[in-house]
Amino acid sequence: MKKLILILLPATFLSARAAQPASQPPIDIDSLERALSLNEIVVTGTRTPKLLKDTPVQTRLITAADIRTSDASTILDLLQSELPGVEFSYAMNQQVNMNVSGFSGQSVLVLVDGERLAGETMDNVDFSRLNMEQVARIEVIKGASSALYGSSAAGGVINIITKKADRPWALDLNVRGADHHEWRYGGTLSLSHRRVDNILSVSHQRISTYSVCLDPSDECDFRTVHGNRTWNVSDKFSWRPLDGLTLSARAGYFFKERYYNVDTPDRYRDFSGGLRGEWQISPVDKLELSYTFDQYDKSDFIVATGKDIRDYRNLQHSVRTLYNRTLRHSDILTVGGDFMRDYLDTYQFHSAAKTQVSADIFAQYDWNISKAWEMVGALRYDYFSDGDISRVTGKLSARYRHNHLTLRAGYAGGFRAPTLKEKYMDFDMAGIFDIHGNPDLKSETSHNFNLSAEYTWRNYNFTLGGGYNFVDDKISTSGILYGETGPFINYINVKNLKVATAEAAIQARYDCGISARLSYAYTREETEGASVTQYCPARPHSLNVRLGWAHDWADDYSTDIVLSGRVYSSVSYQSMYMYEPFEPRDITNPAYTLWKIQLTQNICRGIHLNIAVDNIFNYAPKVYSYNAPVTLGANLMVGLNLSLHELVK
Amino acid sequence: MKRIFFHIAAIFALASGLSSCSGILDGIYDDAQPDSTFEEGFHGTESTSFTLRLDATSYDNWIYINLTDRSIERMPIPSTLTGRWDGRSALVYQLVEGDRYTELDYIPTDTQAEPAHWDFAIHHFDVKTNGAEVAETQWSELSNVDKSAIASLDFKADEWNDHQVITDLREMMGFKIGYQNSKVNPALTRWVTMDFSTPPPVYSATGRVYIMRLPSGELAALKMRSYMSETGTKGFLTIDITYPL
Repeated sequence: MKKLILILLPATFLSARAAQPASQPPIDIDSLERALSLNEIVVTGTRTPKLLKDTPVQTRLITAADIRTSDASTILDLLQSELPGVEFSYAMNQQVNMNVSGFSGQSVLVLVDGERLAGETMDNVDFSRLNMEQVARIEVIKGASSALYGSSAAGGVINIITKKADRPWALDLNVRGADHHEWRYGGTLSLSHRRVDNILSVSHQRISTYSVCLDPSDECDFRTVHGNRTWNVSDKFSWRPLDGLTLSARAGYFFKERYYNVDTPDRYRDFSGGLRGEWQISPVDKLELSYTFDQYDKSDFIVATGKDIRDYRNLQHSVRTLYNRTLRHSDILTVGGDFMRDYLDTYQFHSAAKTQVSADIFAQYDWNISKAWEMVGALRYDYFSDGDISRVTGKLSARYRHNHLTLRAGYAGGFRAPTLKEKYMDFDMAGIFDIHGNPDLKSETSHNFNLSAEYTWRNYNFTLGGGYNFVDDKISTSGILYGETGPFINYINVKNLKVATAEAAIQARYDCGISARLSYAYTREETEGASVTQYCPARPHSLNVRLGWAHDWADDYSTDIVLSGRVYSSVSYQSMYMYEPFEPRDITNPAYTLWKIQLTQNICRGIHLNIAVDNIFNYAPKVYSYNAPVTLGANLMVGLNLSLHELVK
Repeated sequence: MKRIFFHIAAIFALASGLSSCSGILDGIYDDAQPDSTFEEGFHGTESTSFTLRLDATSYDNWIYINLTDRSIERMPIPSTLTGRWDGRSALVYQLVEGDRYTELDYIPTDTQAEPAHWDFAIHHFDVKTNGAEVAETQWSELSNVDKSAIASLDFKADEWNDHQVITDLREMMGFKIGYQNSKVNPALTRWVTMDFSTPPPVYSATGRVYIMRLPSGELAALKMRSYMSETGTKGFLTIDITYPL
């Protein structure tokens, strides 16, 4: 009887290097599970550690090996290349906007180790402040998750898990160069001794300004990609004074200078810190308490006078607590609460800074009904002091497993409370129109229904899933209105939007070291005029392809080759001309495909030499619209990673 | 339920001392003098090297400068024709596509008013002269000026231009800009450029010294020290001048 394998299928891929000679029997379950990271622990779906194959909430995992072999220099590149249905585009002033299967940056919650990030531009967090050096893995939940995470987790959660010190010492250094004088340097030093460990990550990136859309008669949205330089430093210190008790402290600094105007570059800084205590009270009780401080500033540097003038600050203090108790039959009860103070001082306000406090409490029950069945339910209450807003959100997930098939189904509620900016903004947009906030804005809510099936057969894994989202009171901006002082737009709630999503993925692994993955995502927004996403809507079809070959030539020399590509369909939508009489403007962004090939030489286990060519088919958009890929054509990248602790061994 | 939460939150805020915190490390930032404190006029005129500060944020007028009297006078840009047309003065609406201009509308206006005595005039970053010629130099500071090299510089006189002096930016996003058909000095107007091909506009300055040769033969050296206020508002000009050179 054939031994059928029951394995769950993540939509990410790990190119393992354990090649097997052809005379061996077919790949065994354990190594396939390892290869597909199914035995990795994930936490985001339930706020408790679960194996990826067991978690009742479908989770996509981008592992450390995925990160290394994707040659992504930023989180943006990484998410876009690893997950279908994720696209980054520009909004006005070349600020970045994210779209995850129809939900834009404002409705997708980005966390670092479960902590929120302060500051936003165009409703998106600053993705460049996420230090790639400290990223161990990324867990992505598509679909609402506000029952566990609160506001903004309406369309998904992206949780970036940082590295931990796991050996006496480790030193990783890397350097990477690419077109347009793009350089990236980074390093991580981790030390661990008895009950104390420390991990320090530093990275520096810079890129020069370059021109696109050189023909003046082409109607491009931008003609210059502005250069910048960034610094990212973060440190995390842990101390285990007693068995079962871990106390940790962390601090981080981020700096970016962007050359939009050479005489007044804009600067972005972030200062963050935190304290955390984790206490395993008994084998079945665990308590966590943490405090976080996050301050995100924006300023303009006036080169002529040498003055750095701040015009924006978002400061968030949070206190969080989480308690887990394992009951009989491995059921888990989770209870938690958070408190946050949110302070916003921005040039977009005419008045003084605004503050609000928010508090929440939630409970989750993870019920292990039987070997085949598991159900998780959660309920959360959120309160926001400004506007006296209260919300109750729920979630229910079920997982059924039989032999090699796993089915998951769930309902999750999501919401997004209006931000202080959206309520109190009063800003003159270059004399063309004003933007008014709306203090009476309601929270946007979403109800997400999802269903997925995963099946493993021999060397193959299949996933199929679909979801439907009902979005109500979506926070958006109105069309042009006329008031006493002239034309203006304001923030409004848009009723009744729907987003249907579907995903399919196939993964395969062969003895000879070849691995393959094909993932497809479909998004359909059903809206009446308005779009679910603020700026550029999701492209209906997207396909991510990855083919890899790994081979060990000798004990201390191996090679990885990865060919990856993504294909996007065209998208049409309606925008508005930004001048009187502000007529509607029809926009169509054409379909496109981008492919990349990467060769990694692994020498003596500690030296990794990367050469990659991005955009190998030399695609360049005719019209550089906000939603077009920012590329001039093929781009050569060369990088070197050194793991000194491996070399010294 | 709400009240309980509000009280818990408030107690927490007070207890943890978070309620009054508005951020750390403010010392790394500088204070900027608000725009209202910008002092327009001539400064340091006891010597021949002095500073001229102008609020040229408005697109609606020309500011006429008299170097001898050290005086300034504003005169509005006409938008209608009330008297006899001089055959040239007009507001011209252009569609701007990179270097290409397509005329959309031509509105004849009255002649631009000028005071009796003036040497040069400024409209935002544009400059015209009263019969002078200007050369752009390679020097970046007034103190670097080498008088013996001035004779060999390439001096340019004013020229009529119907796509330089911006009067109406309301349709900037559609690249439809209103201009005054006016004389401008092609050399000196280069000192600051505003590129609005993809809004918001991008500014750049040459940082060079410009030599102005007045009709009397006298020379003046000018350098745009700053084209924005301390808060970064564009159009507040600080110009270093040496006159007579």
